[in-house]
Amino acid sequence: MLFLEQLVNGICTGAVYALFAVGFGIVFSTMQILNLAQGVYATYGAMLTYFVLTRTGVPYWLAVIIGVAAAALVAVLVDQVAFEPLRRRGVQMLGAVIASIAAWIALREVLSIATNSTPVGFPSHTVPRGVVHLGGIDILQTQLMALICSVVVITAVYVLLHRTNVGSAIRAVGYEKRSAQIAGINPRTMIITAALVSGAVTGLAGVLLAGGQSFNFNLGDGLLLQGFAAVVIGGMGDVRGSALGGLFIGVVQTLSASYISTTYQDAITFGLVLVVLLWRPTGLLAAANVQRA
Amino acid sequence: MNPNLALLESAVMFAMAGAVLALSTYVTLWTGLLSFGTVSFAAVGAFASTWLLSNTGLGLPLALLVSAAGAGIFGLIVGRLFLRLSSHWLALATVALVLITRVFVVNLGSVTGGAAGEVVPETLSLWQMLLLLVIVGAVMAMLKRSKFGVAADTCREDPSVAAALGVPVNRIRVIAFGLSGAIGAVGGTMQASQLSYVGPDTFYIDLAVTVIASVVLGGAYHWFGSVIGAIVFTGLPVYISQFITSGQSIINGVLLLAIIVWLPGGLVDPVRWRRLRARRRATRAERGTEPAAPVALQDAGATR
Repeated sequence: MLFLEQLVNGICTGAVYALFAVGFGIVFSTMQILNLAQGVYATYGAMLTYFVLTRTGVPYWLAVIIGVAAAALVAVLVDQVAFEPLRRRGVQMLGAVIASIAAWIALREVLSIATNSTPVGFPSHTVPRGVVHLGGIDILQTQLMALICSVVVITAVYVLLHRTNVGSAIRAVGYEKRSAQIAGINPRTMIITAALVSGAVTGLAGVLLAGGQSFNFNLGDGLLLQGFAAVVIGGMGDVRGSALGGLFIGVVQTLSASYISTTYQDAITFGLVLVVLLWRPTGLLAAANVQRA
Repeated sequence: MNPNLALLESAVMFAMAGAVLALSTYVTLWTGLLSFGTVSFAAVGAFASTWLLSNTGLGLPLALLVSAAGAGIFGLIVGRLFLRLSSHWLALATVALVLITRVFVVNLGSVTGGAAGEVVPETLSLWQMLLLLVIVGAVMAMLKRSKFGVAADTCREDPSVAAALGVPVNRIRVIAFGLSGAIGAVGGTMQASQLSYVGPDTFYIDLAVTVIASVVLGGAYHWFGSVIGAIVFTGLPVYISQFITSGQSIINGVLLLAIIVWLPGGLVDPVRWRRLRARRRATRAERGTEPAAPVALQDAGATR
């Protein structure tokens, strides 16, 4: 029973990592940017939700929507301020990595000042905090909510990217910008759309992670590392791969914490990342015909 | 001592430690690879020299030498393993390396002091630090003039062309990783001595960001740029912390972004300087203060 409970715990944590990894993957596959500022979007989502909840009397769901919208806006802002000038000049990958580091540390410091570096938490009466009994297993309501939201949103993102015209256009821009332009697609609009979706998804991951616990301006940093592990293991460019990678990381972390060692938990995760990187750099689940290695 | 002067001295010493760390990152960037490995190498070096100082009879110079050699070998192994990856995957792998290093630092309590960290038994004086920086700088200057320097430049500009010209690209890059390890260990020891404490968070992502920022500001084209970058990103913050208490990272972030957008070559960019000089010479020639000479000829190195 304990094993089953831990497994469910792991799946619920993994669902949040999966959501984050999907957001991370969208930016990577459409813009070829390894965006280290991605974790900050999650922190902004959670923090803005917190500010709205404490300063105004709006219900929880509305606060979450505002937080997610704010995260999406931050993502677009970062993209247009930091990445657009580089794209226009055709600077290579490393330039974008460094620009994202710059955005990361600056935006993180803003939140650190706004909260005086102290931990905060959603007010207890606003968040559902009950426990659900499911076949002898206790699941926190926040965990269940995280799981359901993640499944719904990841499915929605998958449908958006693979079953709609906008999704095809976004993927086309990611694959070959000039050809997409010749086919009548406006690359800039598509890139902004991708940034918007990615920011919103990441912001939601932040809100769900913050859910029942106290958090501070570092929230997104941990998520960035886990999401990064998920994306490496699952494969970068693919929604399904990223999602499964996130789930896998969540389960591995929870199980290794309870059965192997809590202290070496992170070493196991990132050791796994190293092994996968060296052995199959495109991810375990990535298609065999990926061009970059 | 005058408190302002003490702060200045501490700022200078932090800048020197930062400069050596930045040079460690620069060596790999020189061959065209972005690596966060410096932070791991610095951790290995700092913990090794601290352990040697408190548990063996080795003096400071010998301890430093041994830990630099150890970290250098570690760097060679890391380079050998990671070079199978292409550029940004390699950067990712070095980030993972930094994260794993921290886990080991926390868990190897008998050597590293675990989560509580350890007090450094013997700290370096200003002059010893300066000596170390000068030695590392001299090594860099020598490397720049050596065959290695030319090969590294070629690897950065175009690895396939370099390979076609007979440059052993992978070997050069592995050597760069080894050098990065040894220099990183020296920098790590300096940083630890300046903090007089080493703990799991001493060598973590924050330091990686500062070091990368220094190298980027300085530019990837000349080693001296990294020294200037380190003064701006590690020395200056310590000094102006008396005026500004928070928001330092915002300034750093905006500065870094401005550099990468407007000055992608960094502050010390010899190519840009040469171009500027040529342009100045051309305008002077137009005004008639200097006999006109075709700029193209001068650029090609023609002398009259």
